[in-house]
Amino acid sequence: MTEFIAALLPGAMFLSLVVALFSGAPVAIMLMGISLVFGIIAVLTGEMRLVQATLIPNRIFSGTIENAVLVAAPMFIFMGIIMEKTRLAEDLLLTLQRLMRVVPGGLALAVVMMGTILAAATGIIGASVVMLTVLALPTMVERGYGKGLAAGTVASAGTLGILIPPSIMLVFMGDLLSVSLGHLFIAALVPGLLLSACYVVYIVVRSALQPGVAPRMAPSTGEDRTGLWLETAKSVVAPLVLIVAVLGSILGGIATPTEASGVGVFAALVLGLLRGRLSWPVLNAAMDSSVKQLGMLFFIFVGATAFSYIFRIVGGEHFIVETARSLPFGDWGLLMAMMGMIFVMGFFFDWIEITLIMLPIFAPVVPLLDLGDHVTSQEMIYWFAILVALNLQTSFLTPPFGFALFYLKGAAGSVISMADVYKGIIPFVLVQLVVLGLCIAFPEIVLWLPEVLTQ
Amino acid sequence: MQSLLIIANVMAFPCRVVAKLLGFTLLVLMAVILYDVIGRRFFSTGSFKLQELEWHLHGAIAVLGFGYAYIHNAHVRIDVFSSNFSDRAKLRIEIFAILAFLIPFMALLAWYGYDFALRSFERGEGSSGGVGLSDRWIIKSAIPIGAVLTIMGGVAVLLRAIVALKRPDLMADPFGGEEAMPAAGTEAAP
Amino acid sequence: RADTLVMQSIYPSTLPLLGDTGVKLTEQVKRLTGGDLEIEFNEPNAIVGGNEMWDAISTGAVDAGWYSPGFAQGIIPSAGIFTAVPFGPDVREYTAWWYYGGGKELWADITAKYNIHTELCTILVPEASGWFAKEINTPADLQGLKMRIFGLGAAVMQKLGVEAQSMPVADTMTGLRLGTIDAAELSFPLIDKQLGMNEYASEYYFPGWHQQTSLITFIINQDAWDGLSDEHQAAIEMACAANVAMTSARGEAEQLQPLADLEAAGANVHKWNDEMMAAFKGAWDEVVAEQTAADPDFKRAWESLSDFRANYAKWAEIGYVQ
Ligand code: NA
Ligand code: NA
Repeated sequence: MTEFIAALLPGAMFLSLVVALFSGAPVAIMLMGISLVFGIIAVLTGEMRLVQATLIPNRIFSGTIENAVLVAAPMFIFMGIIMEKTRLAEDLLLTLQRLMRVVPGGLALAVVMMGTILAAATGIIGASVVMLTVLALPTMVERGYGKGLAAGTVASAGTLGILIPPSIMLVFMGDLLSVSLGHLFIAALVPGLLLSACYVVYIVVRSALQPGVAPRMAPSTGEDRTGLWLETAKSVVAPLVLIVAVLGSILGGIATPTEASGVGVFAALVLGLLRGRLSWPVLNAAMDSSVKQLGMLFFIFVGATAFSYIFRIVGGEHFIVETARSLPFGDWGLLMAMMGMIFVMGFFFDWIEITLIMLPIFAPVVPLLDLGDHVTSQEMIYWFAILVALNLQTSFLTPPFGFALFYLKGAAGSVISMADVYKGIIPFVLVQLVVLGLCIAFPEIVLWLPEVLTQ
Repeated sequence: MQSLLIIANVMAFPCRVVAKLLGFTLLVLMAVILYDVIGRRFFSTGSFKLQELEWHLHGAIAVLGFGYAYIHNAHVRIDVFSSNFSDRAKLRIEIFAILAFLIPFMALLAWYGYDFALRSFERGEGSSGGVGLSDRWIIKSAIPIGAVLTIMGGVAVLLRAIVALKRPDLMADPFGGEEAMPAAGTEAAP
Repeated sequence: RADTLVMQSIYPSTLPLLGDTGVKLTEQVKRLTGGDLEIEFNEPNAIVGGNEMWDAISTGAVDAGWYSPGFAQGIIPSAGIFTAVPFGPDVREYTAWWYYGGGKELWADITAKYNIHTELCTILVPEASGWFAKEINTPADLQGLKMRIFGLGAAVMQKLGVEAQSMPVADTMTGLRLGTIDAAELSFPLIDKQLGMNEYASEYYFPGWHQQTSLITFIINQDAWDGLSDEHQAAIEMACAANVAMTSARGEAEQLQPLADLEAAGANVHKWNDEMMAAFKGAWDEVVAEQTAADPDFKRAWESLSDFRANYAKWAEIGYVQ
């Protein structure tokens, strides 16, 4: 009897989570609650010893606190909120929109641009999604953008950081696969920028065909032209200083990417002061809002670490691993099956779980794949890693449980509903899949730059 | 019912104080990073301890603000279906989630987290080779303390939700209204 | 139904010598017990991160670990002596001390209160001293140098004016390339080659005085160990002993080609000159004096190892062709 219950536990745990999450109570509390309930069941059925539960604090400590890379999260979120509260962000966005007035969807394009730049500074999804959300989402909605388009743009631009180096996910994969991190970073660059370019194409086409979702700015009259240029110069200089401060301190060998986040906060504070918008109440409000956003972000981290731990104990991985081991396909079929599995897993799991579960299983198989002239065997592992990375980036965005969607909704509050987010993200997920397909069909997209640079 | 609201405010108070401190910790973290970066680049000041201090500060910010975020309804919800539920149903779900899930989970985390920090204290845990910071138990204590603060925030929301359910005339929304959220003091900014 | 031990590894299974030998252990044990005892290999961080492994196994939350005791140095300062001793013995001498010179018993005694049983399970050849952006010719060149290095090696380097850095791996790599830091210590040629370290810095220094030998151990919660049958315990002991013999051979054999590849890719291989080695040694003597004064277990372990080495020196001198 207990064996029978044990076999059903992973499926039951997963279904309970789905129901619980849709109850409308906070996501993190539901993750904790389902872990608690199934932890108790697992102890009663002998799947788990009580002492195993004592590991939760260790997991929170090593995954969230003693994780030096995550130091960038509070800093970048704080920086974003300072920019929002001092209205530097709004200025920048509107100026960019004004400059790109001739292009449909100018404001959304500005967001993609900011997301791409931000991606070169950090790889913490939670940080960049929250930051872009507070920066851009309210302005977009205010200016009459479709809520779906606004949410989709912010969420997908905010997840670019995981692909465009530096990226914590690539570090993780490089470590698991024991391959050169530098090589992996370079290989990710072109696909990352391609993805960003494809978002741009999608936004332009959609806004042109359906002007209602991305209202254009009224054309300016002749007389405010000089004023406009002055305003433009002012509001462009501020973010330029910020970009130079953050990226410049990294490339100049002064700060590590993690430390650059602190430099960014400093630059934002100075800019706010220079423009006379940083008063004590504003700073206070920025600190208060940052603390709330960070509480939201890391509460999910805690819930997720509890859930994935208990899910692991009740045997959630076992089924997946067994299926992966028994795939009866040829070389191309195997590659597609691996990609398909990762994609499907992305609906339900975080990238950390997916890489931990799947990569060690796939890693020994990958160099043995024989794709003829398509990809050589020594380049295979890098190509494969980037395909997986692209695929996993998508997993942040896939409804219902893409983490980027949670962070976006959390940071946006009542500005939009989850349904808007779900609807808005679908076209962007399709764009992701197109780019993934392109990288599979044309491996040069991935392999060309590393080859040129290592010559 | 009024007394429940008073207890709720008492419970929320420590969360607010800690949140205020965490806000300033953000500034301190920025200052430490700048000092480390400038010192390393231009003045050859040692930075192993500072780099460890950075993740200590980050860690405190990361785990001590859950209760505060909850009182202000900052936690993510999937409202796709629940937006059609009645207000009373939503309140009942919230009360259940706090009583059955949040408080027991956080109580366990506080209990196990206390043991976790205590072991670290008893073992005199520090950094490897003594080049970094000593006394790991201090930052490890943030986990049980954070759990207790989360329980306090959870109880505050719970009591308000009960009032909202029984006496909607006193308070309609456990997260809304100035009388439910007095003394936040920071909401005035644009 | 087979017994299963859940083992958290500190190294990924794909890492040669450090990680794949842990997988080897699980396979050998399975064969030796006819499938009766399974050890489940878990990739790094899957259950718990490296710095928390000692605590997790001590409480029994995780059964076992594939581990270097050095990661417990924050709790047990003397663990450094049981992982990598600066200017320490080579593989032969170290195993002599561990198995027959009291090392194993001493470690068991030091760790008894943590309720953890240890089996030496892999032994590694010397590491490289590290990757440097510029040539280092005199101790003055170390002044103000920013180097990513940990533990006792870091303590020694700090005595010589190096600013030891604690930063995440990704930041280390990009930092080394961009000049945020000047040096980093990773591993031996086999692994440095695989990680492409030559892409970040060009000056590659030997010998790794800070790590002449490294130990990897199979650690297991004492209650879990006591709960195993005598046959199962024997299977683990035998598999580990065989692993030690095989890795000491394999570690020597597999460095040559990667080293040649690294040189071909532009790495400049150097040996520290006598002046540098003397400076490192002098700084290490200071660190040892401090550590032995601060921690009684460190003192015990250091004295046991030093006494053994003093006696061994005579044998090494007459026994081997110099
Ligand atoms: Na990035
Ligand atoms: Na997902």
